[in-house]
Amino acid sequence: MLPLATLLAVLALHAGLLAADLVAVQGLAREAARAAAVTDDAATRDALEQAAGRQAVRLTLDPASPRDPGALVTAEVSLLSRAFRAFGPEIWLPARASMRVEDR
Amino acid sequence: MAGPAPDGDAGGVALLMLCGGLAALMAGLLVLSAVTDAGVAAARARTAADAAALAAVSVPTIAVTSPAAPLTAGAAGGCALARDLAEANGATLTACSMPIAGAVSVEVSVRPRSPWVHRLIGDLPARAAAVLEPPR
Repeated sequence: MLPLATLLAVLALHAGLLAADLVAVQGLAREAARAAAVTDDAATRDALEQAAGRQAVRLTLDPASPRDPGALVTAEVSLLSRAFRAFGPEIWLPARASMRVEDR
Repeated sequence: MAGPAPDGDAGGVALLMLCGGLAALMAGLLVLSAVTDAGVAAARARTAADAAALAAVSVPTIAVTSPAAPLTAGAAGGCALARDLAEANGATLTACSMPIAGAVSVEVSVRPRSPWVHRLIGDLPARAAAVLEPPR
């Protein structure tokens, strides 16, 4: 019974990690969109990597900089989840957010 | 004095514990998925509210400074823009007010992805306000 109980506990732990990362990536997308609304792509990427810490992230910005003030910019962020990585599979969690480009 | 349990009894207890463990895991995962769905919807609502408020408050500035964005200044234009931004972020604008020039307050809501979570908790609301220059 002990191995089974351990397996269930590990599964529950990783499901919790996945859930936490799912919520976290929404915040990262928001940070990226906010940065993209006031800066260029390189600065946005830096801000996102800083916000993500040690976790790997992917970023796509539409449209790419330079952006016209008043236009809509959409940040699509994918976060490499910590969940289940020890077992092999890599799970990339997507999120997107849009903001209006501000005049600088 | 009781002797060791027969093999059949031990197997039955193990099976019962296995079923109990799996049922507890399934219940836990169900609760976790509901909490996650609500958490994601709340995060999306906050993003949408912020984006809507920031867009709405920038209307007069953009209308003056950017010919690429010809917008009608004032509450109607600002709130229309707020609605667009809310929708771009998967939310619905439920309230928008611009009590004074350069200040806006918006309220949005986001529907959780799972229908059963939506039936349980309804739409997730979020509010945001923005001002061009805070009152001194």
